[in-house]
Amino acid sequence: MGNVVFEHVTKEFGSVTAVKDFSLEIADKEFIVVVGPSGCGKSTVLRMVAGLERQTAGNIFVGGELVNEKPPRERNIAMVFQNYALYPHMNVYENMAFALTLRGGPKAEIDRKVKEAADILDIGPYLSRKPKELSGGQRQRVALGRAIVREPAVFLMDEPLSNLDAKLRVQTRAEIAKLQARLGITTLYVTHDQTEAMTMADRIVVIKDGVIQQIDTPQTLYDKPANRFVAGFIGTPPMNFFACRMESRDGVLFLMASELKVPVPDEWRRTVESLAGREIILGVRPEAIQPSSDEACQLRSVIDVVEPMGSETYLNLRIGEQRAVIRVASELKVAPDQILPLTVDPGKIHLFDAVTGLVLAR
Amino acid sequence: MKIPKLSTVLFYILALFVALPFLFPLVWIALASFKNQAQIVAVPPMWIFEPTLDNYRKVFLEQEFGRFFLNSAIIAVGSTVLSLVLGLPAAYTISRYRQTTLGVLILLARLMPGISYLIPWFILFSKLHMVDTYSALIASHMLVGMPLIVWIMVNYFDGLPRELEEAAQVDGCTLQQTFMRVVLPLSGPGIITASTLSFLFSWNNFMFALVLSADNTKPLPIAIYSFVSYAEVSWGAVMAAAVVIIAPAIVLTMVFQRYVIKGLTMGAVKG
Repeated sequence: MGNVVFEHVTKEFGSVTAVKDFSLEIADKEFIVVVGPSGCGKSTVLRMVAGLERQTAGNIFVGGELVNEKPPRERNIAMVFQNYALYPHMNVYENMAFALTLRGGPKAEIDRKVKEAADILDIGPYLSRKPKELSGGQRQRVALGRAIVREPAVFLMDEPLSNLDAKLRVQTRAEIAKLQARLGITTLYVTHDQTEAMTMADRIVVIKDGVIQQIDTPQTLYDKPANRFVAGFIGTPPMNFFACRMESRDGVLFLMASELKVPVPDEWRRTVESLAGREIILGVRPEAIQPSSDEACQLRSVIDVVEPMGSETYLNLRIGEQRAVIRVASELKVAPDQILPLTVDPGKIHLFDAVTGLVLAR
Repeated sequence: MKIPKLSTVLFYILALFVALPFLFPLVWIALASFKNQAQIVAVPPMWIFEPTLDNYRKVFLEQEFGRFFLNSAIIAVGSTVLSLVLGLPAAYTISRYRQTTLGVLILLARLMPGISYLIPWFILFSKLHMVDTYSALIASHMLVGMPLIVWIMVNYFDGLPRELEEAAQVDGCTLQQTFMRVVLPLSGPGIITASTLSFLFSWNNFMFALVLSADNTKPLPIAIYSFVSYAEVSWGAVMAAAVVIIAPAIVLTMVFQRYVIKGLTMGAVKG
C-alpha cells in the first residue's frame, strides 16, 4: 500500500514558516501534483515525506506507517531530483543498481530489474556510460530508472522536467504520466508549472505561502476555483479580474466594472443580493469573453495587442479603464486599435470577495 | 618553421625571470652533488666537470641515508594516512553539520607556533617512554597535516552538490555509507591535494624531529643537519643528501600539481 497521509504538518525554518498546517490524504496509486509559485513551500512538503527535512509539528504516514522518526532509507520511497543527482562516478547501470545493491539480494535479480527498467525507459544502450556522457533528456530517464527499479511505495518528484527544453518537457510529461499509470505507484510530484499539474495529476494541491489553497481534480480547479489565487494561478492566459459593484436596473441585477456590465444569472440572485455593499471581484476566464456580432452591443473594447498562437489568438484588450486578455479563434481577423464589441457568458463568471479573495459564487 | 608570437616569447622570458631565483639554488645543489670538494669551492664556479658519484656513495654507504630515507617516509606516510583517517570525517562533519567551533579549534591548533608544543611534548613523550618512536613523530606531524587536510577538505565538501548525498540517503545509505560510497569517491582531487601537502610538510619538517627523534627514527632533515655539525663540512655529501630530500618532493609535486592547484583554489570560485 502506497498511501501517504499528512496530518496538520508544519515546518518552520527559524522564524520562517515554510509549510503551515498541511493536511492531505493521498490514496494508493494516486498521482498528486503539488503546484505553487517558487518559494511557496512545495519542495519542503516533498522533502518531509522523503525524510530529508523533519517537520516541526504534525505527523506523516507512508503506507499506513508513521514515519516521523524514520530516516529516508527506511521510508520505502524513491525520489527524482530537479538536477537528477546521478552519481557522477558510477555508470548508468551502477546508478540504477545502487539502491538494490545496498539492499542486498541475488545479483541476477538486480541485473534483471535494472535491464527491465532500462527497457521501459529506452536507455538500454547507455548502461555502461557515465552520466556526463548523456544528454539532459537521457539523464532524466536514468534518474527515473533509478527510482523505478526500487519498486518503492511512493515516488517523489521534485520539478523533474524543469531542466529540459520545452519540446522534451512536453514529451517527457506524457511519458511520466503513462509510466505512473502503468506501474501504479503513488506519486507526489512538485512543480511550479501549472500546465504540468493540469496534464498529469489525478488531483492537484495548490499551495501559496505554505498554506493549501485548494485540493481538487484539474477540471474542478479550473471550473470552480476556491479563491482568487487559484483562479489566477491555474489556466493560461490567466483569469481576468475586475473590481465591480452591483446595480439593479428594471428589476435586473447587473455587475458593473466601468464599461463592463454583466447580468447576474438568476440562480445567483439571492447570493449576490446578500453581498450588497461589499467589494466584489468579478473573475472571467479568457474564453468566457467573446467578440460579439451584435453591433448594438453595449460592451466595447479596444484591441491593444494581438498575440497569434497558431491554433488560437490571444487579444489584450482595454475595456474602459480595465484590461483583459481573451482567447479567440485564429480565424478572427483583427488588428490593434480596432474596436471590438464583446459579450460575456454570464454562466461562466466567478465572484470573489475583494478582501479575503474567497469565492462568493460560481 | 613557425615563428612564435612576440607575446609568447615575452611570456617565456618573464617566466624564466621569475623562476630563476627559485631554480638556481636547486640546479646548483644538483650540480654540486656530482662534484668533489675542490670543484665545489672553486672560484669562479665550474660548470663543466667530470661528474662523480662519490658523494652519493658516501651518503648511502657510510651514512646509512637509506635508513633515514625510510624513517622520513614512514613518518610522512604514517602521519598523512592517519590525518586522512581522522581529518576526512571531521571535515565532512564540519562542512555538513556546520561544526564551526570544531573547525576553528582545529585551525587554532595549527595557528599556534609549532615551537610552543615542543617542551610539553618532550616531557609528555619522555614520561610515556615514547621519545624516538615512530608513534610520537607521526602524532606530532599530524598537528600540521590534519588541520591542512581538514581545511582543504571542508572547502571541497562544501562544493559538492548536496543532492547527491540526499539521493544516496533516499537510495538506502546510512550516513557512513553516504560518506564512503558517494562523498569519498567524488573527492579524489581534494584528497590528493590535501595528502600531497600534508606529506610535504611532514617530509620537510625539521623542528619536531629535532626534539622527538634519536638514532632509531632520525629522518632526513635531521640527518643532513648532522653532516653540517662535523668538524669539516663535506659539501659534496651535504648536497647529495639534499638532492635525496628534495627529489621526492619535486616528483610528488610535478605528478600532482594539477590537483594541488585545483584543490587550493576550490571554493574560492564557485564554478
